[in-house]
Amino acid sequence: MCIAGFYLLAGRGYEVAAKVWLVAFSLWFYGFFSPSYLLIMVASIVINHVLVKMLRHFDEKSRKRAILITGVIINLALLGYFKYLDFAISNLDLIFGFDIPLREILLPLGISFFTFQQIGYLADVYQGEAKEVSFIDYALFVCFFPQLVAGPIVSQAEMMPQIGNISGRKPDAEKIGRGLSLFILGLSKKVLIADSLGRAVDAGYDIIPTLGGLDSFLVMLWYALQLYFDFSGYCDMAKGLAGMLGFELPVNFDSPYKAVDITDFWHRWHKTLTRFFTKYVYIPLGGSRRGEARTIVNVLIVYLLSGLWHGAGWNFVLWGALHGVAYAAVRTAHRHISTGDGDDTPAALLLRCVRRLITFLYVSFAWIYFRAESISQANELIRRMFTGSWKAVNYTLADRFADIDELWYIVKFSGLPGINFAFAHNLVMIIVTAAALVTVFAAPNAGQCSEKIRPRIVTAVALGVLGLWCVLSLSEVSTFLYFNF
Amino acid sequence: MTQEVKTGFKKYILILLLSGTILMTLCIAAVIMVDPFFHYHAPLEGFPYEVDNQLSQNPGMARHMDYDSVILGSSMTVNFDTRTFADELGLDAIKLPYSGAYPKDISNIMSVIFESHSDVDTVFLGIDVINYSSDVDQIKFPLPEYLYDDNYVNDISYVLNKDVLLNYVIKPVISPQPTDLATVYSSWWTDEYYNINYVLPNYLAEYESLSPRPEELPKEYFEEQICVNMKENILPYIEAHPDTRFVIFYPPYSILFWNDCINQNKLEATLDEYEVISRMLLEYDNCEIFFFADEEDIITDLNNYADYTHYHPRFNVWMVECFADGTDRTRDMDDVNAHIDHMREIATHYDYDLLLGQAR
Repeated sequence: MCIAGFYLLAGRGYEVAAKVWLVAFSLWFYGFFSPSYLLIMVASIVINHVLVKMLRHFDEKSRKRAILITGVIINLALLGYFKYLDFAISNLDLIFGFDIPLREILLPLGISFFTFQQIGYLADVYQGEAKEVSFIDYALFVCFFPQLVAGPIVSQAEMMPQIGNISGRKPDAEKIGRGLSLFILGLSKKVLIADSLGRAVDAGYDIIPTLGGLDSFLVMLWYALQLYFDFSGYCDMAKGLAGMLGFELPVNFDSPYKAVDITDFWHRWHKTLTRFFTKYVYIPLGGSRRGEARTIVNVLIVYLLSGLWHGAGWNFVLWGALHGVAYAAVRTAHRHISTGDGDDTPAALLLRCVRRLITFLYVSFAWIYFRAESISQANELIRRMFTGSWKAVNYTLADRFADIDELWYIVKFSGLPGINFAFAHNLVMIIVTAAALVTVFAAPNAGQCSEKIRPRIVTAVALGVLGLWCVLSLSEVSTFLYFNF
Repeated sequence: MTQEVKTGFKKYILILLLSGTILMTLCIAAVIMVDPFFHYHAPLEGFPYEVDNQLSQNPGMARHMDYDSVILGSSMTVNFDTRTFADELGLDAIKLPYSGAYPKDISNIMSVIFESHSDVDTVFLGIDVINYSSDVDQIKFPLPEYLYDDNYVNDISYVLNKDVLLNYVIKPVISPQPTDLATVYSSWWTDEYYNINYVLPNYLAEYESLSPRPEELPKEYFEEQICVNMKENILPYIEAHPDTRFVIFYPPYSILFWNDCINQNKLEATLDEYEVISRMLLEYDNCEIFFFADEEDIITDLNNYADYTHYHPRFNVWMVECFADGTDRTRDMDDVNAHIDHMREIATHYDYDLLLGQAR
């Protein structure tokens, strides 16, 4: 309905009406998930637009700078109040022995995303990089529903030209077809893969004291896979939806677990966040222009902030630090050692595989702190990995794969006489894990698939069935992991 | 873009949407036709329905099945066989229990029952007094609201649901194992579990992890909340349906339950719960109370139990016989107080150390 209404208005040249239609739909979409916070987002858009107007109004650098700083503070204060107040209170209570009760404020959906997007916009206007736009264009830039709740964090430079040329936009069958395909692939990544793995991860974190070494390793592995399929699945859906409306969102995930080192990983994982931090934090801090030591400090600052952006807790800060340290180390190593990335000899290929594996294991290890409720819980899981038994998998974990409704049919029609369900649980666990690993290491990602799709009947039917399967599975689906970041 | 590619993608989109929509329609039609949760209609003749989900299937059964009596309560009622009700009382009963039911759970299902069967003859209700001091709106598990309301829009969660389709529509066709509604929801414990050697070690493991309450709870501690709960969740149905007989019973928990009460210093407060609830119920002519909690021979023999409260199914049969012949019926507060005094006598004089010592 949204897509049809948009093209109906845009195609007939009703540009403003088409934009109002999209903004209205986006606000309804946001209000549907988080009605109480709709006002906060609307207020945030209005205030930031006023600040943008003020930035354009004044010519003096000092005044513009003051407005920019005010804007950044307002946005961060909003984020701070909702996301970090309890974290600050609990630390004050701990350090100074205060007894300030936690506020337990519900985090507005997608606040980290739309706050950063608007800070970026203010900075671009300050730098003179953004053209003047109407309020409705600005509102659409911030609240465009496909990327509203979980990114990607789009820049004005890539969105404003697209918002500006809506008039006369007609439905493009290829864009809609590819967008629809990408949306279904993203949905299936989230619903069919991430949620299946998520059940086992949740079970694992619930029973850490009983986990063995292999169990803990598998829980670590599953979470790394769950997070990738979950977040990238969502971004695929966002990109697909936007594509159906004729918008091009940036690629946010470029097969990140194929990365050969941690710097490569951050050029592939949540790319728009990396871009944001690079442009608005790392470069203003001096980037790599002030010597090697200062560069390392800048990198560490960026990753500590990235950790905090992802969550209000010391475990997130530690997760950021783990990435920051590794990034700085690899970056420094790159300056002194040649990695031979262009080399195609068997030895070089093998080396790349080994580096890929090491990077994946390191990233997965760091995710433990990201998923755990506290540093001590993460430490306990890691301790069990190194001290527990590696001989068998805890049945509670394998059993979670039995929650896959299709299992009964697989066993029934597998043709394996005498197969029992306990064995089947383990088998499904192995198959799901192996398939997910092969997908992340060797298969093209969903974005590449949708780009290559040829409009054949068999593909259309397969995706129609896949889409339906996802819809049928939705009634038991958990919420998106990245909603609360 | 060439015209050919354009046409190709138009066809592609059409086929994708069409195939999804056709299959979706088939799924919806299959769920509505079979209606495994009986949300729209009574069971189809001869379909091997699998009934194992109290939260999802009870409201539909209440709404669309034929019956003249209902059995409500917690897991204390799951082992009733409705055939016994037919044999002993000549009633066509249906079981609609909710494990761990709070009064609000009972209220929810009673509202569905009386909406569709306002002339129901008898409601058998097992009351677990300890759950009646809960919050008025407390329910044991979140309800699938779409099966309890009349909103057709949210039925989408039912008609487009993989669980429903695979486990309750297709699976029974491939591998029919129809549920016997007379014994539906029966507990999984087989006879060998009803054994002191199984009960005691499990009980002790939990019992020893609890620290005793240091002070005795005041006798009237639960009274206020119980009154609110009864007035909000139970009595309105008794008042509104004077022609329906409400047979209320207090299940016979094992002596271990009473050991917990003593250990937690709440024996008098718990016994008072029986008194308060009974006093409120006896105000109504259409209410009958059966007091099984102090059945000494049953509750002091742990071979009758699978854990500290759940008794062997033969006592469900026995209770129905009592409903028929009036054994343990309390007709006034004197009867109730006599049972409470008896219970206090058993609970305070029982040699718990001797019993628990067997497993230590």
